[in-house]
Amino acid sequence: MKQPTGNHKPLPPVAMAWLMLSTALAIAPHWSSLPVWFWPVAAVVYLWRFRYLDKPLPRWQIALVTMAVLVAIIQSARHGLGREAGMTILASMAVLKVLEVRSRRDAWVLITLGFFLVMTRFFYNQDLVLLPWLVGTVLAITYTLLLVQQPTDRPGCQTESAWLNREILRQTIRYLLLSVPMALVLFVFFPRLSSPIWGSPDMFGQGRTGLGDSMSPGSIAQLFLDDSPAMRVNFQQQRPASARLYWRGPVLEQFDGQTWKTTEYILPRKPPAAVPGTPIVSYEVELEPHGQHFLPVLDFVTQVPAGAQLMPDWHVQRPKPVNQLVHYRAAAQVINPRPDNLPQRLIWRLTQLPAGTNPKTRQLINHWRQETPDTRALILRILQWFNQENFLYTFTPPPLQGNTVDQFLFETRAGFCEHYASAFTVMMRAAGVPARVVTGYQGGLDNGDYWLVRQSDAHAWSEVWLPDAGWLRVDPTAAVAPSRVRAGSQNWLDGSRHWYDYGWLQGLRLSLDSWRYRWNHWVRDYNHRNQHNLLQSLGVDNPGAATIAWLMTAAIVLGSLSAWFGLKASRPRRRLSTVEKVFQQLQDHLRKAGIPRRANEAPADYLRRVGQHWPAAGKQAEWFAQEYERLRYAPGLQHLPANDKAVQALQQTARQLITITKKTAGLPVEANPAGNRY
Amino acid sequence: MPAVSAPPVSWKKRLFPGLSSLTETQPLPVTAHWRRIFILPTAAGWFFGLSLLLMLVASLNFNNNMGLMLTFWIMGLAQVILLATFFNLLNVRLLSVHAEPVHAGERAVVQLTIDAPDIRPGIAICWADRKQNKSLLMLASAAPPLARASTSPNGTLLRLPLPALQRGWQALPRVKIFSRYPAGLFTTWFYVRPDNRILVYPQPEPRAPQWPASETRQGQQFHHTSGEHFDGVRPYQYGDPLRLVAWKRSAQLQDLVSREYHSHHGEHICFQWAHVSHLPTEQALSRLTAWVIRADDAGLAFRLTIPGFDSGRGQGHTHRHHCLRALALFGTNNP
Repeated sequence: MKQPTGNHKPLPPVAMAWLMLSTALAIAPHWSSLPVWFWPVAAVVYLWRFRYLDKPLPRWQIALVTMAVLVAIIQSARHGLGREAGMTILASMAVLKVLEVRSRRDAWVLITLGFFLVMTRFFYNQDLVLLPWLVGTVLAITYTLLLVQQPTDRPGCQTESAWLNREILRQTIRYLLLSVPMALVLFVFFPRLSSPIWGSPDMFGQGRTGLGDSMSPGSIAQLFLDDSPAMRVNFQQQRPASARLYWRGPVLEQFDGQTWKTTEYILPRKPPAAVPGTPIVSYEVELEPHGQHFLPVLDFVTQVPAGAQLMPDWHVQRPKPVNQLVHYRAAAQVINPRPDNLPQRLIWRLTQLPAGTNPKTRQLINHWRQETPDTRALILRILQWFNQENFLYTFTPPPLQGNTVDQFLFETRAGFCEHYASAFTVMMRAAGVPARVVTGYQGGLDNGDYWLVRQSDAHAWSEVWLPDAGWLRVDPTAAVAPSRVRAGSQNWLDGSRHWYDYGWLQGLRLSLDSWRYRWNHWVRDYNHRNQHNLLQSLGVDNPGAATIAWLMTAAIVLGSLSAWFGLKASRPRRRLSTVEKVFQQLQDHLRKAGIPRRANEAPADYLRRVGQHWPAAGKQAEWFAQEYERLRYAPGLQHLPANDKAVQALQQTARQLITITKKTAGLPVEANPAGNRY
Repeated sequence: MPAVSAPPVSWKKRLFPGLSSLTETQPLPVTAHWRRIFILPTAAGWFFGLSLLLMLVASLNFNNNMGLMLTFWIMGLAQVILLATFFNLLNVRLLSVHAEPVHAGERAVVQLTIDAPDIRPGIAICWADRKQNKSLLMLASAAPPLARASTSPNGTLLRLPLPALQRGWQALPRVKIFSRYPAGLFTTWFYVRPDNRILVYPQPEPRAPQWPASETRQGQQFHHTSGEHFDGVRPYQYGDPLRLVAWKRSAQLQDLVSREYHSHHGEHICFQWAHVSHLPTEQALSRLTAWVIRADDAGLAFRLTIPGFDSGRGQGHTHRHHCLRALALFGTNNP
């Protein structure tokens, strides 16, 4: 039934401000998926509206702005209406609504939109750090929801225009806490889908930092500054020494003189047989999304993760890009070299260099090759050269141009791992040895429950093929900065990478990551299978529709009950003062004695009636009524010391009244009390 | 109550007193027992629910656990709000309904008193009948047919306008007491059809002619009784018009006194049915009503005789009410 209500009345400025704040909170973490023009527009809208809290924009002007934004959306979504465009539309709707918001009705639209915006953020990322944001934003939006409904016609409402109403805040927190049990039960028991009905969660991928399918000087040095986690590993047995942990990523075989690129293989190769006599290391990986196809595996792989393929260059990839947290098991033999055959055409291709580039390097290698025809001796000679000449290992190398390898080897002599790997591979190819660059991660860090590999552990090394031994991994960085490989990516450095690289901060980041690991384990990865296992452990095998319905009903009833009792218990109850309690007791007694107080009877009238009924108690009743009204309603009396005595006297009179009414029989009660009829 | 011959209360009525309040009147006070209370989402609530459903489907499809966490949390919140809304109305009482009599065609102001064991914000009252509210909205300069307040244990007075349609007893329409507090997502309400009725006096004739001079009446002294010729004073009575108050004398006596007129030369005004019997009944009543008002406003003593009623000679508020009540109920079986 439609009733005229205050839903069209303008909102008070405080409610407007809160509405804008909670909407901003809901939009803010979407910054990376919104187009650049969005932010100045949003800022202008917000500033304007904050200046004129009580004045929405006229309708035709809103129409104009909406048209402009629409054009901008279409412009920035030229590649089709993808999810980015969808997000932009949602966020623009919210911001434009801020322009015209005026009444409660608009507020509800904005509040609902706010919750929706919060949810969409999780399609991109479900990191633990978003949890505080989730809680804070829900708190702000719910606070706004309750604030908007505050009765505006309540007396004293004008004085309650403080920016934060503590009473409402308490109420908000109470409600949100009371809704947790139901949320928890639903989260655990609400039937999950084993696979998406439409689309795939991977469609919400976004450009992420990490290893790519190409490498040019400086690209890995950039990653060195990034301490975000790349993967977490659990070793089934003994973990090999950190220096022997080479996590293989994209393998770069094509060189154009500047940039190394991967080869696009179409057909996978057979998983190799294990080499007898060497232990097999099996491990489990939790891989953070990186937007690429490869799965980092330990060299050299013996068991390929399920659903992934081993490519001819020994890197492992899966058909879909990794846009969600991915788990896989793999096994490896940490050996070097790894026996393998190489077809003739690959031998040819892996010795190719762009013609005419890096002449000085070629010259040097030709010279050395003549002196040391044995390939192994040549490798050692080059590594020794790196080690003994004044080569510098730095993550801020000078830029290179033209013949980059020549320039690096003979002029700058300062570089990061990719410089050394690239230079070494070029030198090997110049010597006619099949060689390639392998990127990935090296080492890692023991973080309690698991082995943590961060983006800053990104590394590049070389691989050469020897006809008698197979693939031999050569890490020229180890020759320049042995501590990088032995002790980990952070420890070769004497200074610090960032001004904020304090020890305690590093520790904080690491402990945050261990929490993240638990979060991933308990919350982010909870799915159909885990739920099934949980139900099984509770004794529910193969739950059918009926079982699920029962479970859901039980869950909802449980949630309701807890909310019910929580609300009852936390309802602000007006505490009776002593004076009121005395009167209450007297009333209880008189009701039993046959003279109940009428619903709309003032205390004085009631006691007069009592006095008429029991004339013997008339005096006491009159005195009680007088004294009761004085003690109850006189302002400020409660704090006076004389008050206690007066209350005692009141109590005494009440006792007297009770005794009298017990002893004497009253006059007959009026048959029909005068009602409200006229 | 051990009533001897109380009719058996049907199980339907006992279980769903809310349904019986659709048709039957109830003696006040009526308490919002939980079985009386209705609750449904508001338009905003449906919108909110729809968006929650969307959020659920989207998160469920991608097994997005943080999205699900949010969705379930908000679902829990909605349910807490549902209960909170319900609790806000639970045990609210409609204590009393009262309205002063008005003339037909006017708006009666019905005073409703509600209370609750503790403070309940945002309790609103309106007529449950949509037509009632509509006609009120159409009345020019009508106050919105809705009153809203917080209850207090001492009772809160709310006023609702009600168009008075016809002379006689007018039953009160069904009252809807509702609340959307605290979030506006749900509206919860209960109906009361109070057993009170309001008295509607006949509409006074707008430009009624002067009453016929009776055989004992002379002149039109009430036009110039501005204070010179009153006969004495008597203690102020509730209902005396202000113009009758003898201010100077009151100041001397430290108490309010009214002037007392004795009709000059002992004659008095008598309105008789015979004076208006040539008119249709309703018009006749209208005219008599206008005369009664005019005479009373002038502070004159008068007498009204109509078939079945003789007021006797009298004056003042009670007398006026007495006469108007008789005119209002003239010809109706309802005393």
